[in-house]
Amino acid sequence: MKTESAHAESANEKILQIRARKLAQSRADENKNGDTFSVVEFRIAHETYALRLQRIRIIHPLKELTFIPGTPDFIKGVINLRGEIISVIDLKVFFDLPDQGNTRLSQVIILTSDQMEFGILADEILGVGEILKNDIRASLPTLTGIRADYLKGVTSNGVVVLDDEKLLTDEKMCINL
Amino acid sequence: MNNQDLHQQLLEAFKIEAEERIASMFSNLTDLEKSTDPENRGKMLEIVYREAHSLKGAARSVNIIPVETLCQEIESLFSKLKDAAIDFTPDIFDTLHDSVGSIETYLSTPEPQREKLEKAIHDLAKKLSLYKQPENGAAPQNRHIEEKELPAAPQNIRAPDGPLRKKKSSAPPSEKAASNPTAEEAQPNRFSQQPAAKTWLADTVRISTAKLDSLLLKTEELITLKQILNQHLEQIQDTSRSIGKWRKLSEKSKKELYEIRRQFHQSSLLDQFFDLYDMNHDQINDTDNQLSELSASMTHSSRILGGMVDDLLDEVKKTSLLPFSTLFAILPRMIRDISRDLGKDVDLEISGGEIEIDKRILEGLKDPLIHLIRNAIDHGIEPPDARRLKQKPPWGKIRITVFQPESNKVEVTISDDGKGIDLETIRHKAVHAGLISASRAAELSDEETTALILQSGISTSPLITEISGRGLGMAIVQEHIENLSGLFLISTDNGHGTAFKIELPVSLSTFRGVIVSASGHDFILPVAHIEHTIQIEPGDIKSAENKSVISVNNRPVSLISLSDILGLPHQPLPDTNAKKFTMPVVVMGSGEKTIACIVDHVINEQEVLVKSLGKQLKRVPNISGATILGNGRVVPILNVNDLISNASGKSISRAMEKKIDMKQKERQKSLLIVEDSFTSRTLLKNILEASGYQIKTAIDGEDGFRQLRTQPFDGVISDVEMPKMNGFELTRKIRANKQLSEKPVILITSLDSREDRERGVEAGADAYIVKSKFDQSNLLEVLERLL
Repeated sequence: MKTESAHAESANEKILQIRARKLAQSRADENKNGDTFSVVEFRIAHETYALRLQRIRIIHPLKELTFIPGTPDFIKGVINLRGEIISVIDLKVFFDLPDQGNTRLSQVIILTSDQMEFGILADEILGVGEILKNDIRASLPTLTGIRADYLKGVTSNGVVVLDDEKLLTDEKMCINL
Repeated sequence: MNNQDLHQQLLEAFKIEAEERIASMFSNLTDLEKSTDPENRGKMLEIVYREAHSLKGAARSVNIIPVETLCQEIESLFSKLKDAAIDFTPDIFDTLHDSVGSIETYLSTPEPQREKLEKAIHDLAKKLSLYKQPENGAAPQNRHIEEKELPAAPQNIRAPDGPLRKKKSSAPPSEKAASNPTAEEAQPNRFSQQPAAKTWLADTVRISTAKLDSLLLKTEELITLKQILNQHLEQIQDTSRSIGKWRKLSEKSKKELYEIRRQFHQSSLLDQFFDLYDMNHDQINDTDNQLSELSASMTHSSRILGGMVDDLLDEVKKTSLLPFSTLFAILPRMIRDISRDLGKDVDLEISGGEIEIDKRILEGLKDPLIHLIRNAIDHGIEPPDARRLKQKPPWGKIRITVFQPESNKVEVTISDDGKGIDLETIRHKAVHAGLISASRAAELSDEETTALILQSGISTSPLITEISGRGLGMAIVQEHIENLSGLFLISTDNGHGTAFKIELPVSLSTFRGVIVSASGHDFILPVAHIEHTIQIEPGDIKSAENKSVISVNNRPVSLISLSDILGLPHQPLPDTNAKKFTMPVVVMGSGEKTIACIVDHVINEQEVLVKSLGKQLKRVPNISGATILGNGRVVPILNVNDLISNASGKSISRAMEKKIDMKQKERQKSLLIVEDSFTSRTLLKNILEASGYQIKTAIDGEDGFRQLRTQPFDGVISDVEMPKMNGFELTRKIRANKQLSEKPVILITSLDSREDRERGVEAGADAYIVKSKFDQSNLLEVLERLL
């Protein structure tokens, strides 16, 4: 019980942080003419990923996941977010990455647009950061395969920057069987 | 509120009113055209007249002049028709239909584009006004009298008239009374009912559906609260129980402590301790009592709240119930138009229109219903000539029957007496479309073939018309109905017609659901689709045409496993406490489309609030949505339609069969029979195997003991007189062996003396059965008791 509320608190803090950053960022964007953008950085297995703040609705600790049979493997199930049901995906499976074992998917980052909404499972939320646009390198030889299509690129310190718009609009993400 | 707002509000109200009046005019005009009963005609005339009159007034109040003008013309034409001043002709009916249609079109056109339509309305108004002038030039009043004197005049022209007539009746009263006194007498009664129907409207208020919907939604959320409350109640009861245990423990320790005190010599320190202890004990007592009271009052409150929430929800749901007749109002005109275009004569017969159903379901039913009726006219009902050849009446009949078999279930049947569905054509088309192979097509049962219509790309109509024939229709109809949590069934009788049955819940959003589990996952099945929940034994499963079936109410039903259908990984079957190994089976569906589904558990039944699976999961096979339980857990809701169609032609998988087999073996008790006589050995083995035991045999005590030490057995049945080692020795050896000492041993013998029996007991046998008294049931009873 205690750890759960602690989780919730830390998640709330994160959300507040994100909101504060968002507000600050919109000004920063105007000032700096879009040279940097704010991201949430998180860890899946041993890799650090980043997602722009714009499309993130909320970050929520993962409590209970309900498996939905008949869905593709990357759909891990659905969660109850305050009475709303939202599906949750595992990027490792979606990207067809080799199973890196020891993951403790404990957080859900919910990406949203008018047409689409889903949660991305993460091991750990590292925080909100700024990424310089020209620090992103388009591709790395190690980032070939399916994953390359959904990336903006990789920063100089190895953060994998995901393309949120591509993820939200990709046909493969929409399950209509 | 400024004038602009007021006008806008008036316009909204007018729109709703106009829709109703237009629908009523259409349906009564159509009936009027068909009806030959003068009394009915009079009623219908009166209704159309009044509707036109009211619509005219309403149009005037919102300043929609073209509608007002046209209604004025309709009204005055009807006034003449009522007075029988002019005759009905098919031409008049067509113009009237066109007029009402043009009002509808005009009002549904956005204001800026309405101007274009005004000329058409103007022309129609002119045409209508021309009918009022009798061509023969005779003055209406004269003609009225003349007609009365003409015996050849059709009766129905002088259709009885309505209350408006009363106002005017001052003009020809004496004449009317003299010529037709009975009609005059009948009138006050008949018409006195109509104002009564109108005053009913005075008790009603129009509320926008959006407001009602939000009210309903909020009320539905209370169900979750109710369930949460029940869970809290359980928690309190748990706490209460554990405090009760604590109290008992404390009482017990109190006694023991007092004993300690008695034995020790009294000391003030010990007394102090005892005071503290007593206080502590009293406190526990108090807390226990308080908690019990709290629990009792909470149970009470929770029950009251639960009842109130249910009642409130019921009442709120009722506000969004509408009779089917509101949906059916559009049909008479539609059928008239379509059948005229196709050169067919079609009669519509509706029953059960007064049955009420959730407005949202009714709205969702509109498209499928229209589609089915179009199909029936286009494909089903033959042209009059063809019908005559088949010795059917030239006019086809479409029957819509609404029936409410249960409080939350409605069945709508749409049937026609047309040519039915030609199953051969369907088979042929399905092969042609590549849906099935030719050899498979030949094997298909009629029922399976009918189900093919539901797949896209199959139509029996050789001709693609504007109305139907593209072969998409039925698939879409089924999808629409599924979205309403309904079931869709087709039955056809080649040459005699087709019937479509739609089963629907009365209200949409909440329903009773049963939680079932398969391979460790929970799912909800709508109670409305469940026929029975039964327990079956492996032996109940029969095989027919490579399918597993069980008999439900003496009728074979194909059996599948929920884990198989959902593609869930197989887990060992759960343990049951029952003596025999049984599996819970849910029988679901309706009529021919019934399946039996093995599940791991049937957990409980509860109210279910349907939620969508979110934006990403648009459609998932076999799952129609999900619900959130009181504890916040999400449980998927199964789509029974999908389950049934996915189950067709399937059987339980090998994996499932294996699981059942293993479980059965696991539950079987194994026995060792030790007997030197081959005949006795075989006899015993057969009897016991037939009763479900697993049997191994040994030829003497020595052999038996060897087997007992190397394999596990649940019990031993042994003869007494055997070579090498007899039964008494064997029993003694078993009792002396650490691992085997507890095994039940039954001795069966021909030795029937007191000494022998005593020797047996001495050796440690659990039962001693004498062969001469031997009968099966005795042995089986003993085994049942000992194992």
